[in-house]
Amino acid sequence: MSIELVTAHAVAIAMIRTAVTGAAEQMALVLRRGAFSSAIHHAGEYAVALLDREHGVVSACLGAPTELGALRGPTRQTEAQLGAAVWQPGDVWLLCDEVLPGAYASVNCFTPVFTEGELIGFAVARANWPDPASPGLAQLGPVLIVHKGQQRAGVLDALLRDLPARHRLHGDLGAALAALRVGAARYTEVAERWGIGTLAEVRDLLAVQTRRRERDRLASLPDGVYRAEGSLDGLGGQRDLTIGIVLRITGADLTIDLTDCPDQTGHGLNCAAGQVIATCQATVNEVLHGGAPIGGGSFRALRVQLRTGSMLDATGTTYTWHEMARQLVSDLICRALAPVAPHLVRAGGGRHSLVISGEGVDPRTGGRWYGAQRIAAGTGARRDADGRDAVQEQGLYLPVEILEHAYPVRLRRFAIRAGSGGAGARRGGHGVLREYEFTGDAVISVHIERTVEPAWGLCGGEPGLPAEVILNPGTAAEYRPASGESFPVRAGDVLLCLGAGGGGFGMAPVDSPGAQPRGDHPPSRPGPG
Amino acid sequence: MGYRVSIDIGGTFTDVVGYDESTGRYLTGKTGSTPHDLAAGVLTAVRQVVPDPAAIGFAVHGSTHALNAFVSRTGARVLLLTTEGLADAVRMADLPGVGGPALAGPGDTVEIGGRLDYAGTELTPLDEKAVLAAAHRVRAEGYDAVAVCLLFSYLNPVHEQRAGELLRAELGPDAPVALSHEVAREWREYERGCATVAEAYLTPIVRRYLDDLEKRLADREIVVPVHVMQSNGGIVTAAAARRHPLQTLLSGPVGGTMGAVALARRLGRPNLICADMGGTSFDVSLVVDGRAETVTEAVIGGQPLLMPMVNVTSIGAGGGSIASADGEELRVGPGSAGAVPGPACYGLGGAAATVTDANLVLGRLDARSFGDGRLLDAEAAADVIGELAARLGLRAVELAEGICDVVNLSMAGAIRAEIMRCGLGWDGHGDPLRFSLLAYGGAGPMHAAFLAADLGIDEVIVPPAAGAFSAWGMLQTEVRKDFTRPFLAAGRRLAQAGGELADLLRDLQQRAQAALSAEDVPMIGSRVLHALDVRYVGQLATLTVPLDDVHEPRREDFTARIAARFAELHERRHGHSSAFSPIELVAVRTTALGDLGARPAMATEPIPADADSQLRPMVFGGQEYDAMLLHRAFLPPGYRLPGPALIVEATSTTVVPPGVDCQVDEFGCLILSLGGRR
Repeated sequence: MSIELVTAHAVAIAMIRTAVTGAAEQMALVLRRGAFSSAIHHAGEYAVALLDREHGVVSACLGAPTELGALRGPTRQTEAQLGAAVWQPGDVWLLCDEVLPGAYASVNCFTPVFTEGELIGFAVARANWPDPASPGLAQLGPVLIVHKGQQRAGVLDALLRDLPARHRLHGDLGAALAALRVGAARYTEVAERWGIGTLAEVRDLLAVQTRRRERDRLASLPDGVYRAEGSLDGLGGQRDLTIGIVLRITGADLTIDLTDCPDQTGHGLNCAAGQVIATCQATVNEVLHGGAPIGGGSFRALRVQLRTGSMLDATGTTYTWHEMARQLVSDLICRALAPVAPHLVRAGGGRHSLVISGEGVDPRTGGRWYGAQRIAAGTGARRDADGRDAVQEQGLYLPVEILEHAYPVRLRRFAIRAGSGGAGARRGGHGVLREYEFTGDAVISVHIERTVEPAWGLCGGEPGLPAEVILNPGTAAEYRPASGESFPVRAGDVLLCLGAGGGGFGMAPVDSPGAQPRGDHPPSRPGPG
Repeated sequence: MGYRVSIDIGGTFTDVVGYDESTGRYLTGKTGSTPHDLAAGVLTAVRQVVPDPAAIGFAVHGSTHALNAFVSRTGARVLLLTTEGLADAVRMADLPGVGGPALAGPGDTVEIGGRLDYAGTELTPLDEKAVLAAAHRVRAEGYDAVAVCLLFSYLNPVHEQRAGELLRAELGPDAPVALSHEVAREWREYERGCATVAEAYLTPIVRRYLDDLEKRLADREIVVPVHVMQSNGGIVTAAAARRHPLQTLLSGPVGGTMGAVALARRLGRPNLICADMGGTSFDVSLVVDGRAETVTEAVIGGQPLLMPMVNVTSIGAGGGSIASADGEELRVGPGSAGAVPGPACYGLGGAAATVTDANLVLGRLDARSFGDGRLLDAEAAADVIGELAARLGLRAVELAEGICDVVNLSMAGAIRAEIMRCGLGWDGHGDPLRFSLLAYGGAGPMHAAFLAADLGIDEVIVPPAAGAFSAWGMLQTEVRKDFTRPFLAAGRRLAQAGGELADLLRDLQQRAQAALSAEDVPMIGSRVLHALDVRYVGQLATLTVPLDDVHEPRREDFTARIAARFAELHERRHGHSSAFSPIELVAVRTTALGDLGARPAMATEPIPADADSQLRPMVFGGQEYDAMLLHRAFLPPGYRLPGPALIVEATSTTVVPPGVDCQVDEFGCLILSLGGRR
């Protein structure tokens, strides 16, 4: 039943596509299933891929927006540095190629894949390690962690020894190695079954197909220059951070120009170039290409222009709140495209606009505790659908029963924040409402974004309500902390956290409540090419 | 001496297997299911295998009735009572795979005052007036059932118990009221709440159908207690199933897996991949080390459910998958022709080219496969396949074979993913557990050899009466009851937990034994097993680590023993373990098992009048072969034949491709050997 000869192209394409996408999915499954860190198993901060001999992507499975180009980098860099002779069967390498202080370090594990002694490509697993893990990692260069199938225990121990999260990382690495074994085995099977020549041919065909599909979609939009702008508060309103976006569609090419933005900030509201490119790729894929599977041909027609030293291409700084800026970039792409592609875009989203954190001593145990919670928000509406309520992007809420067991708090209310989604023909998603009562003293910090210009509506839709935090609401001691503020709370204090709503889409019917225009008309205008 | 009878009520057909204790023989029967009056179909089927219903000494059945109601959202209207402040919480969990509409909407939820703290201590008393008001609302607004899920009831059920008393006092003692601590005594209010709502959702329909079935059987002088398959792979009496209907959710599909467990023992093959493929469905489950692979929670029909269940996963539409052209590429699935209109060859107006049509074109399916005298429409199949082939520039047989190859490869990928989701097969090099593929259902044996090749498996087993194998499996099981208690311990608490844990186990042991007595299981056949859910601190998933006995936690070296056992299991399941990562205990699981007697031999099917052997054309690898078509009943144990061949029986068809060897073993199983040919 081996297929000795591929006579039918239509069938071979289907089979090889099935085999390589299945391989990437299985790698992702094994990584996610075995990992110890919630960043991987809950938040999906990983990417896995099979690469060809020239480091091109054959198939990929992205847990979170990851720049496609970043998957090609580590093997290429290793080969450039150490030469092609470095690739040996049964070896696994580790390379940290990006450290973003305040956010994470990107750590890649990869293995060369051989059939009959010939190198056919690579399997790669990339995951984010928490920031405190990172100092020094980036200076290491490629590290051989498995040699001829044997783990180099000494190397691994030295790598992890000083890291506070070493237990978890050890487990995450074990899961990554298991994922690579699966990827390599599947890759070898595919190559042996159909031959490397056919595999390469089909890979090229699929890439051409993807590229053509993307180009067709872009070509269906009128050429032109589309602009929009939007602003962040600057975490506490110290400074208005307005970002202008310019989208240029020329035939089948799309350029996203994000050079018109403030210089990098001093308080973590920054992104690295790769993060912004990943966000642009993910948004374009979601909005223009309907979330198609990502492969070798993806995003060939997309160029992203950034300005080094700006907050969207920051270097040598901290990146703690990168997601807040990335959410704005994603919303801006939609805002700019709204006049020409209203059927594809979504209104602004409320995600990544409220994080609370707290620390103190648990009176029940005498032990110190620390915890952070993102408050879920609504997403923006589309022309054909309401926004989604209560979208929690970064892991789950702890169940109340686990939360109260682990922290000296009581959750008094946990509900959909009714009315927080912007009105419209389709309404924006609602955020959530969480009301905590503290059962011990603590210090709380809040980080709130996009209160000055909350998630906007599109095509006549209303904006969503911004996020908000109120201490002891409805009492004489009521207090509204500002973004970036830290403040003490006592046992018995109540903290009300209100997640942001998403923007609405289209004019709300006149007889519906909240239909009075609150007036956000996207400052987006098509211009001459 | 009498008969032991099992009945598998599927969506389309009802299969019956009867074991005659005096002759030691099995008989199978089959009839169309009667969805609006399930008992009618059951009685018709039973009459086919047992001449005198009064001679039935034991009866067990499973059905997809509850599962269908669950998935198609046609269960009861449920009012949910939950803790004040948290009414919306049931709408907000954003778990992977969870997405179906909630079984109780936002308007069907009532908040009840009363609060316990994290240790189960009462902070504010239960608001009894609010419970009574909810009871009035149930009556006034015509709700069919009530679910109660209050915070921390897994630690202290007193508020839920009181709410249950008040509701039953108002609504009647037999009113369908589900209390979360009785449904799933585990922490995590969202998941426990979902399970509780699901129980309430199913209670009225499952009770109605069990009551009707028992009454109709009694009318026929079948007076033995009717047993019901549960999702956990064991059986209980209908009386117990009435009290906990959710546990019968998977009662249909798990029969095959439990049959596989029995077969694994008999054949000495401890690791089986069970592929149950019907005309338009494909379910996969695993037997590992002779035991059915079970999970303690799963997402079914978009709802997370907490309960021990055999891990049966539905992957794709099997033979109903539709083939189409996407540019120059062939696509197969994910669309399905369903049972109606079904594949073009069903002759019910289906116009899409499906996998079943492709099989028929290739000669891999006998036109008599309906089993009820109707013939498949070979011309319609040739037409739809030919039309699509022309669009893709292929010959018809080339396309037909391509369709089968693609669907086999993607089913093999889904099976592999399922194995990995269970944390098995991690190393990716072939098959670390040396699985055999067990194929049953009408279409399983048709695809099995190809699936095995794609999976790198050398052996396929096709049991006798493959189409009725799930019903046969139901006769091979034991009584089973599960008990769970949360038990959180890490660090210092773990080191000191031994005494407390041993006390808890002793309590569970007593409950388990009492439950077996209630099911009339003789002492000699009962066993109680204990295990712990363990994980590394920070991990999401747990592994269930068996305990030697109730006294093990009192041992000095208890923590070290559990850590070592867990590490070994983790290494095997995930391919790695971490000697210096701390572990934590999450829950205690106790299982009561009761054996109800011996179950020898295998089933056989009657030989149809038109059975004959002939040559027929079949296509493999682009080449046409004159293949033998043989009726299975004529193949004696020890018989050997090389592929290509087609082996037909009343309910199933086995394809033996060229290069594959088929042998009939002493139990009547067909053993297909791929001999390393992949």
